[in-house]
Amino acid sequence: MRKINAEAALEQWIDNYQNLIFSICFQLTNDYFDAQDLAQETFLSAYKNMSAFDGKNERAWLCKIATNKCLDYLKAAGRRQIPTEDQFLISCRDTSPAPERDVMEKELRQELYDCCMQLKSPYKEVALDYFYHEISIGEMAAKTGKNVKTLQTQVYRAKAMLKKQYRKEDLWNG
Amino acid sequence: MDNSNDNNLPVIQILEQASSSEFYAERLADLVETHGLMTAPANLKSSILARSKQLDVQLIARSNQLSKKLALWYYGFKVVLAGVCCVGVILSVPDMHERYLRSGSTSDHRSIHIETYKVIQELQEKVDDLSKRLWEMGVSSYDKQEK
Repeated sequence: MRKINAEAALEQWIDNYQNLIFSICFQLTNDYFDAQDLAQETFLSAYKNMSAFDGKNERAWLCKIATNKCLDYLKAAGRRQIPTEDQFLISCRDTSPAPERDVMEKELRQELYDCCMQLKSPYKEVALDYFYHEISIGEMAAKTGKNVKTLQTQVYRAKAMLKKQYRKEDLWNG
Repeated sequence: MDNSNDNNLPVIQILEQASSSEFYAERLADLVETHGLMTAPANLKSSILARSKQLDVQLIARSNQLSKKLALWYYGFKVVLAGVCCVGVILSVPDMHERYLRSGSTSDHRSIHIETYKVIQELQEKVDDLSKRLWEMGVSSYDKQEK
């Protein structure tokens, strides 16, 4: 019963706050894939420590976990670019009206598409399906007839390649 | 290099405040929600749920739940132990009192006082030692959890 409750609570938190947590992580790291990893770590950490949650303000609690994760990320040695206070505030203000926010998301998706296209086959197709078109692994398996395990491995490798590609692009763009 | 580190300090300070204070965490959430909210990748939810079902995550989640129950049980145990010690001391006192009444001379009174003092001190040392051990056990189990 308790397990079901914990899983239901996790699912509800993801539904309600995944955009917020992902946005916080992205604004602070400026890296699409690291933001995704940090958002995942945030929810998993919340799930693991659910017994320590007082049940009062889940939004603030999740934000605290996310900021802690981002802090660890930013403090870790060898990080490329840490946003300054100005950069962080500007990045938030720049996207205030909805159309501009859409433009930013479109740019981000274009960047993601370009990175995917630079990968070699079969990783290019896998990355395009999973990261760009956001098709689940189960659906990909049904579509391509490939084994789920094979696809999981290919997604994992494609992600590592995309991270490298993404950072290279970022360096070129300054 | 040093310069860039100096520039990074304020945002880290903001984050440190947000990571420790509910109020600042709320303000950060408001700021991001009103000005920079983005759509999370569609596969984020499924990847979190899949990861949460894995054994290592389940084990940590369960052990954290269990440790809370254990902490409560441990606290109860300490209270009961303290109560038992108190009862022991109280029960030992009437015996001393009877011996005190039985003896007539002042020198005997003094020796009984000293004897009582020694017994109480001995008891106190044992209780201190026991509570110290219990405390160390608690600390080491907490450290293990933290690791």
